[in-house]
Amino acid sequence: MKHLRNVLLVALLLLLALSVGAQGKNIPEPKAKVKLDWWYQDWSGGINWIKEYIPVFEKKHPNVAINLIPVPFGDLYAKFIPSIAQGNEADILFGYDEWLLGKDVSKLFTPLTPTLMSKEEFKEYVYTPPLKNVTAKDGNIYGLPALTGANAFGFTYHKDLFKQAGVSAAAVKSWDDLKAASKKLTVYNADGTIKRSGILFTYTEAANALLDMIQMQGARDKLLDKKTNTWNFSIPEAKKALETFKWFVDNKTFDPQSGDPFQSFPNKIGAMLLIGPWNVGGTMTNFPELEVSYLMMPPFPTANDKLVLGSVVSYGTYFASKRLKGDKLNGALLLFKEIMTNPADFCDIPFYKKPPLWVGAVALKKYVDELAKRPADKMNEFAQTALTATQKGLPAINTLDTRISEPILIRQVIHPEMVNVFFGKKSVDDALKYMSDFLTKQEKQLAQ
Amino acid sequence: MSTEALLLLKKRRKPLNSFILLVALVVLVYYTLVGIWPFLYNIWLTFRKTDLITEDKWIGLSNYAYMFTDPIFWKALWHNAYYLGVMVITGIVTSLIFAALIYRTKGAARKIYTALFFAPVVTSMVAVSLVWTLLYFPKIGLFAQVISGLFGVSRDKLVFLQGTGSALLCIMIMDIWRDTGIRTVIFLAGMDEIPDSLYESAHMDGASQLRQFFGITLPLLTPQLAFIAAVYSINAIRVYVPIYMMTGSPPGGPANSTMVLTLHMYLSAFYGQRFGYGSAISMVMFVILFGLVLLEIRAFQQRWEY
Repeated sequence: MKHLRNVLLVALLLLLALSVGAQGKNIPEPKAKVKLDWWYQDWSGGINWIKEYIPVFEKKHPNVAINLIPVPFGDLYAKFIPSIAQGNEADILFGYDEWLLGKDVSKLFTPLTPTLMSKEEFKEYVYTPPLKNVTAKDGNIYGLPALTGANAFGFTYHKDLFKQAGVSAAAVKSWDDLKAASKKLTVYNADGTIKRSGILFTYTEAANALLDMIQMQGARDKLLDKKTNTWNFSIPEAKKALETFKWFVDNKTFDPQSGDPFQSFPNKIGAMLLIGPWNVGGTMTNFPELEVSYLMMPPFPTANDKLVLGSVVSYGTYFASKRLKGDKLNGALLLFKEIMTNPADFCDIPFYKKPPLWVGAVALKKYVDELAKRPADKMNEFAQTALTATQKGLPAINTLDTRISEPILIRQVIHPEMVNVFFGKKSVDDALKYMSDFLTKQEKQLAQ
Repeated sequence: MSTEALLLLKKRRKPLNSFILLVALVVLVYYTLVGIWPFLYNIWLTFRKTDLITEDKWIGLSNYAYMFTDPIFWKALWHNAYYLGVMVITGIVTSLIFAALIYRTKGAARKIYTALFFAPVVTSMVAVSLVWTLLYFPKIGLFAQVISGLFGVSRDKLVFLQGTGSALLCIMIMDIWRDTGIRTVIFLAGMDEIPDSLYESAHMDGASQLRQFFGITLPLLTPQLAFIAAVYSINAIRVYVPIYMMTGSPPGGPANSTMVLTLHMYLSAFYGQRFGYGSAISMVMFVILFGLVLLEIRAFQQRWEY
C-alpha cells in the first residue's frame, strides 16, 4: 500500500514537473514598471484587436505597459530591416516572416528558444511550417508566428448577391463550379458590358493563385529548379492555369478594369473576390452594412486533385528586439508567453466582435485544438471560417523556395503579365516566357 | 589711417574671422554628414549585394549590368521621359495661357483669380492624389459619370487609372492641374516686369494682341520659361508621390504602366531588399538630374536685357 502510494506520489510529481515544463521557463515579472513600444501594422481591425488585448495582458502583468504604435503596411515593410540595422526598431515588432526570406534571423532578433522555452516545447504551441523563416541555422526560433491572412485561400462573397443569383457557396467545390457561379452572378448593362463582375481577382492573390494552380497539377519542380535557379513557366501546367484566369475575362464574368477590388467589392461591383479570409473582417469593419462570408479555394484542375495553397505565404509574426535586456526583455517574453499559453484570450477577440476584426488561419496550435473542441453553440461563423481555413489551408501550404521577395515576384512581374494577358496586350505564351526570363535572371542574380 | 587704427581694426577682425570659421565648419560638418557621406555610401552600395544587416558582399558592376538588362528599368526610364515631355510642354503652355488671361484683369478680380489658381498648390499632394483617385474611379467615379453623360461615351471605356494606356496620362493631368497656380504666378510676375512702353510702341505700330504676345511677352519671359522648364524637368524625374498614391496595389500598375525610376528604386531597395540595386538606380537618376541642373545653370547664366 505504502509502495503504491509512493509510486502515485512520484507519478504526480512527474506530471506536475511536465506540466510546468510545458509552460516554458519561469520568466520573472519586471521588478520596476517597464514600457514596451510595439510596432503593429496599421489595419483598423488589427489595431482594435491589439487595443482590446493590451488591457487583458496588462491586468495580468501590472509592471508591463504596452505602447501600441500603428505603422502603415508600406512603411512597416520599408523600415523593418533598416531600422534594425540602425538600432532604432521598437521593442516588439509585428512583421511578416516572408520579409526574412534567406536572412540570418539570429542577427536580427532576440531568440525565443531557449530563452522562453525549448524548441520542442515551442513546437507544441505553434505549427511547424510557419516556423521555417524564423528559425536560425542553429535551430533556435526567433519569432512567434501567430496568424496568416491566408491570401488566395479562397473567396470573400456577398451573401445577398449569392442568394439573389441562386448560388450556394457550399456547392462550389471545383473551378468548373466557380466558372458556373461567376456566370450566374454577373450582371450586364443593356449594351452587353459588365455592370457587376461575377468574380474579382485582387492584384497579388491572382498571381499567388496562379502559382498554386501550377503546383496543384504537380509541376512544382518543373516551375522552379532550385539547382539551376531557373524558372520555367513555359510548361502546359502554367498555360492551363493562366488560361483559366483568362476564361473569366473572355467569358465576361470578370472585368479587369473595374477598379481597385478593395473598393469595387464593397461597392458590389463584384460578387466575390479572390483574397484571404482576413478580408471578411476587413470588409465588414469598414462597411458594417454588408454581409459577407468566405468560401475556400477549390483544388485545380478538378475537385479530386490535391489542394495546394500558399506558394507565397506570409505569417503575421511577433519579434522581440535583440537590444532588449533585463526587465524589458522579461516584459516582452511575458507577452509572447501569454499569447502562446493562453491563446483564447488573444485569438477570440477578433472572431467574436461584431463586426469581426479579423478572420484567418491561426498558427497557434493550442488555440486551434481548443477551437476544434468548442461546442457548436459557442462557435460563431467567423471562428468556424478561421478553423476551416486553418485545418484545411495550413496543411495545404507548399511555399516555393525562391529568393525573390513577394512584392517583386508577384507585384512587379507575375501580376503585370497576367494583366497584359487580360487586356489582350500579350499572348499567354509570351507572358509566360517573359515571366520565366525575368524571374530566372533575378533568381540567378540573388543566388550570386 | 593711422597705425593704431589699423591695429585696432586687425584686432576687431580676429574674433569675426574665428566666428566665420566656426560657422563654416558647422555647415561643412553638417553637409558632410547629410550630403557627402550618404552620397559616397550610396556609390559604395552600388557595388554590393546587401540587405544592410545579414548579408553584405562585393559584386562589382553586377548591379549596373543587371539594370541595363532589366526591362522594368527601361520602361520606368521611358515613363519618366514621357512625364517630363508632357509635364513641361503642357504645363508651360496652360500656365502661359492662364497668366496671359489673368494679366488682363485688374484689382480684386486679379487677386481672386490668382488665389483660385494657387489653391491646389498649397494642398497636400497625398490628399489631392486620394481625391483624384476617387474622381477617376471607373464606371461609377465622377469623371466617368460626367463624361458619359455629356458626350455619351460608354462608361466601360472610361477606365482612367485602370487602363495601361491612360493611367500615366491621368496622373500627369492631375499633376499639371495641381501646379498650374505656381507656374501662372511666376509668369505673371515676369509679365509685370515687362515695361508698358514696349506694348504701347507695338500698339502704335499696329501690332495685334496676339502679335504682341509672341513678339514681346514670350521672348521677354525667357528667364521664367527656362526656370520652369528646368525645375519641372527635375520634378518629372523625381516624381513619386502621385504615382504611389494613385496606383494603389501594386504601385506602378496596371502592368507596370506607371512605373517610374523613383518607384522602381524604392521597390527594389525596400520591398525587394536589394539595396545595392536600388542604389544603382539612384545613381542613374543622379546622372540625369545632374545633367538637368547643368542645363538650368547654363540657362540662368545667360543675360536678358530689355
